Amino acid sequence: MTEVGDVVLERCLAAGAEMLDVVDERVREVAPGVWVIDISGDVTAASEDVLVSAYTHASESGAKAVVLSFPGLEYMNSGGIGLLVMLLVRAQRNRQRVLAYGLSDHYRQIFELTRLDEAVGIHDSEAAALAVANGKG
Amino acid sequence: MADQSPRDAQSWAKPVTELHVGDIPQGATNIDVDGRRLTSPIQGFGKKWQKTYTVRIPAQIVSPEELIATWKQRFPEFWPEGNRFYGPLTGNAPGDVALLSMTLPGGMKLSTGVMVLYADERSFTS
Repeated sequence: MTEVGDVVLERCLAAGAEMLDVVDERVREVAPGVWVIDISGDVTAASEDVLVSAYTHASESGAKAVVLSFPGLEYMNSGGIGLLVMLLVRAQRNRQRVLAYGLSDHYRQIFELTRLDEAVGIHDSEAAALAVANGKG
Repeated sequence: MADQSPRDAQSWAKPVTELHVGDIPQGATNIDVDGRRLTSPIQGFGKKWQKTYTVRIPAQIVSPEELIATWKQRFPEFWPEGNRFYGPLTGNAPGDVALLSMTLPGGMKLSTGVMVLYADERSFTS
């Protein structure tokens, strides 16, 4: 391999490792079969790799319920809502329950406008979402 | 929870309980849009709900803002033969409702409508 090729490969590996770190930080199992994905900052089409990787990690680890955590959400455009729709479709195909918590009034309105609130159980807190995910709500 | 008016607030359509079509352009059919509720993208088009097409356009030729401005303004001109988009004259602002007349495979006609959910200087979604 050429020196340029080595540099490109190193950068790709570093970027991949960095993304894995981001994914690790964003997804956590909080109860058997219940995974939380932390969604923070800007959610746009550019978020696809990280969010899909986080969902895939949870799904391949046996998630029965996926809880989307939104308190850190600062900005979402149409690409971002499209990304959430894609995750929701995949979860439905995999027969996984999807819940959400921490949505501001603004983003709750967007979920209502797009009627995503009919497919996603929306809760005020992580504890409330987890109670439902665990069949206690 | 307190709402902090995020910077995308002006780009999203305001909540509506039902759709309202303004002036109906000549040739458009409004039989299942006015007074109806929006349909969720989850329910809308089944497995065909999303298609992604990518075209690389160097920024030296046209900026993203110029491209989207043109696309919004002339959107009705970009539909394939046999399909019509009857959009508002305002050019695809959040909350605008447009009527569609489409020819499906086999020649079947479909009349429906869309609402602009989101629009900013670099994107828009109906």
